[in-house]
Amino acid sequence: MTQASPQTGAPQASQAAVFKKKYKITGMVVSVVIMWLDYFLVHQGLVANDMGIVNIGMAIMFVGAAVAYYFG
Amino acid sequence: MQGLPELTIGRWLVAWIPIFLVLVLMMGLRMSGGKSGAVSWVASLLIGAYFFGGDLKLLASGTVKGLWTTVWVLYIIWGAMTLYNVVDVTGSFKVIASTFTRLTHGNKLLQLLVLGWAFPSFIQGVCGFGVPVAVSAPLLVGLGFDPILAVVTALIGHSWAVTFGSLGSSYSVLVRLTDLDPTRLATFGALFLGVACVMVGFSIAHYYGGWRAMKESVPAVLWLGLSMGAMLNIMCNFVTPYVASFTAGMVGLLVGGLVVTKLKAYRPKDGIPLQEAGTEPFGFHRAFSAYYLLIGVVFVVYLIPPLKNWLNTLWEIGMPYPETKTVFGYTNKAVKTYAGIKMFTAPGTLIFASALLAYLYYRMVKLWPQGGGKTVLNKSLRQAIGATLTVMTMSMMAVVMMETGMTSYLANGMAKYFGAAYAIASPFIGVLGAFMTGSNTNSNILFTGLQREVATLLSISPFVILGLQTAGGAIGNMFCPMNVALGTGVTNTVGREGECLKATTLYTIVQCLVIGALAWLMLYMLFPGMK
Repeated sequence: MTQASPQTGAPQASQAAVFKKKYKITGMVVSVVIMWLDYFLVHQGLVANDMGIVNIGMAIMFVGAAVAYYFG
Repeated sequence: MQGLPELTIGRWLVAWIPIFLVLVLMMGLRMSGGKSGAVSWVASLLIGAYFFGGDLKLLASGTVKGLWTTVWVLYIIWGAMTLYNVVDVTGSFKVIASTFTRLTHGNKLLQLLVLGWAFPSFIQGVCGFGVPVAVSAPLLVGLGFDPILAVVTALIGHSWAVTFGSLGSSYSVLVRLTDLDPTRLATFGALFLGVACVMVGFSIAHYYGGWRAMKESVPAVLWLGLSMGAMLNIMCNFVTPYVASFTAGMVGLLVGGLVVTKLKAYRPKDGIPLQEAGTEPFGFHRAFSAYYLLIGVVFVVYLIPPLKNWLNTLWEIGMPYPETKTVFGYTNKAVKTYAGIKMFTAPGTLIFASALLAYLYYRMVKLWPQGGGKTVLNKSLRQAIGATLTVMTMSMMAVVMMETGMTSYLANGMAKYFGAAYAIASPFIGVLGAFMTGSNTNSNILFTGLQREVATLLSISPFVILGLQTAGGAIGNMFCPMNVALGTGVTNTVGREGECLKATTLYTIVQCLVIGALAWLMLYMLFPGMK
């Protein structure tokens, strides 16, 4: 096991790099879309003073930021 | 410090973390702006919650307000990108490059100074809001300059003209937020920015080719810098500050085009043949028509007040936000329309309108290639998406910091810890405001009150300190991530924002130190007791 990890780790890393490169623009567009759609959800929660919606909205915002971090 | 926790050095240092993260990740680890912004946004949320008492409502409100404020900037970025690609797809950049090469006898330094300093200063005079960077950086790239050099030059080049640019929007905030004599306020702002103007020229030359280029640039920088700086001061003191940058930029363009290129120092050496005119496939004016159209559209909308006022009333978009408060009592009041955008006078609209007019013109003169529209759209999307992410995440971080009171806390700390050396720190507070908000106007909104208060406490001239505030806010425009992202976005160098920031850091610090030291000398050595 300990010997196998580095051998399988390298191709996996390069696969991830290829995936990242191939879908870079798509990934960035997705994160922008997620954040902007989520904007309206969070805003709705704030205006209605519904903290449940705001909570969900902020969780989605973190997902959008994580996608931005991965592909950015 | 109403609504803020007690000022302690530990908490003050903690409040710097999101900003340091941006700088370290972008400049040290060479991360892209989008990545650095995402990390710094999370850091600002955590620090805002644990050290500044922000609850979920406040942090969420700051986040979406930050997102909303990007609409304005993104509209400019996407517009500028479209305009650039419309010009590029017709082959006009090759004609512009060839013409400027001929006029400047192939002297790259002169091209850089005229198109990277005088030209964006002129645009800043009328429009501003990042447009000078978005327009002149691609123009320089089209002339064959390295994209990062083009971005850095445009960022540095337009900075000195910001306060009295955009028809004096940043200056008018100073006037509105104080009860001080407007002309005297303009006097000191113009004095420091006039000095900054000359330094801008040398900074561009230094970044281009080090000390050697600086030496070579002396006649051009002195002609351009002194004429623009002098005009700025004359306009501010004797005519009106509201068109000071516009007039100074125009003088710069005239001096750059008619005087500097004919100086003995820049004439080609004997034996080097001059390129003949008329070797381009079509004329310069036809190639440059998109920018003529942009200048024309901006002039018509911004310089005819009745038209501008009428357009302003037609369509404004913006969202309401409820009041939020930290546990320490720092309050962000409820607003009906937060950062409303007047759609028909927004710079983005003017740029898109110019791009459309340019497209129609190029079609009319049969320069538009087949499938050009598709090429423009594809290229614009690819170039703009990275900058879009950077602007979004950075803005979210900045507004969270403002809404939790962190930004005010940082400024208060600088005021307290610098004491008698406050004059030297003062422009850096202006820079901080511009760094956080991407705008001299917003920097003045944030810190005019604070700077005035500190000046009163230290018994020094508020005119000098407010002059430093607005000059710092203007200089900070070359250093703020939003403008940097705008520049990398329009030159297809997204992900290299750190390189631009690294370059402008040095020139920001030097210029602020020089004007700060000048102010200190005025306040404590040359004119002690000056009011």
